[in-house]
Amino acid sequence: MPRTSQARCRSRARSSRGGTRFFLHKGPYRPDASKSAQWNRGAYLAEGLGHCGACHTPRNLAGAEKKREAYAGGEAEDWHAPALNAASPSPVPWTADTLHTYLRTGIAEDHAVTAGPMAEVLRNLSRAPDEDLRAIAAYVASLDVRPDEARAKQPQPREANGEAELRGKAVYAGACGDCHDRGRGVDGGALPLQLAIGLAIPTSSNLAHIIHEGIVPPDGEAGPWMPSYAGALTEDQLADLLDYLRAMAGKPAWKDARSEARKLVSGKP
Amino acid sequence: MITLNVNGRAHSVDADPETPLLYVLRDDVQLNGAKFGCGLGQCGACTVMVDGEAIFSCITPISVLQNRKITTVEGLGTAQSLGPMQRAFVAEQAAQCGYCIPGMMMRAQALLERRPAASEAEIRAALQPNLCRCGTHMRIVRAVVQAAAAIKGGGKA
Repeated sequence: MPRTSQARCRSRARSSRGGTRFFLHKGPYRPDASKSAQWNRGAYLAEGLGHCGACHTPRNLAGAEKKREAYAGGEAEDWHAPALNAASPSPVPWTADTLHTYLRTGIAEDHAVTAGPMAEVLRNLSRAPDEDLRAIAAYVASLDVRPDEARAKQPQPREANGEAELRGKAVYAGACGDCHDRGRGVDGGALPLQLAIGLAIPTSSNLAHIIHEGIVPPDGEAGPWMPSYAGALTEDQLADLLDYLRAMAGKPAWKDARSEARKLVSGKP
Repeated sequence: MITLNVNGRAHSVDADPETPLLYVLRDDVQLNGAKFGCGLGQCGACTVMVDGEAIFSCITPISVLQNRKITTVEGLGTAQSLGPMQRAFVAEQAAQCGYCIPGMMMRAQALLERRPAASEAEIRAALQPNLCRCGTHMRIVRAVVQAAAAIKGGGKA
């Protein structure tokens, strides 16, 4: 229904203007004396200039960040911005070190490469001083307050069941497995997908974007890369594949796999 | 057995469903226009059209192609009767080693079937995924511009 989505765009735009008036934080950053100087620097950067919460925090109907759900996961340009707090769905928990590597390079061990709007954020951050990236990483890592033993649950893939997941399994075997089953240690190999956060988040939108559009660095730049499957997979084949990948993550089926596939392949909302 | 529709002809192929289309085209269907470059969907030498869209045949398994319309460079014309895209590439002498050219032609063909009035900027953007190591890009772009004009002035894409 185009009217609805247009209305939503307009209300978003209006609320962001109103947001400046009603939701602006005033006053300087007040350091937390119980935390390290590095953590405070990170908090100052992430909450201020970095405004990480603008995407990673959900918003209310007026378009304001829900402060009580800070970093519980939000959205950016049709992509999901994963939770960074104790609800982080990352199959392998982030640490300050892996976050720093990710912010610096866009790719950290046992984590998916950056994609979507975050890729552009990281291109901008690549000019930031390293100590600032370490500070942001230290602050963001501290947002996930779960004790280590609560975080270290690796996902267990479940068997593909149902016709869609089984068809998706066949698509995976032909289109994805050749690289993703080999792992990054091998030439041409890629991340085993049960480690990919795109399978674990509440929506199939990021994964649908990645499969359809690929991960392509901007013109003339080098970077992590995946080919686009636009044109190769039909709407149904993409939806089946999304269903199977969700099983690979050991998670209950997504409700939006068909609609995300339709939106990208057929351009219909 | 999987039936593939290639250049308007049905081919029954006895191959593993996971086999990339490129190998089946070259080894089973005996169409050698599409080339193996990187095998990773990074260079575009293997580009063919499926249902009118350009795809990397080296990473697309035949299992997803049943009942879909595949077009290779051989489907654009014959040596005796070249199609407009092929004529333009010959006229502009757009090939040096020629290895990337079938892929270039197929990606350009997909663009012009979708947007017959594509501008040079759109042509350059569309050809972005296809690499040419010899550096004949300027001639390739000129050839596609010429093909677009030929197609617009009569003759179908």
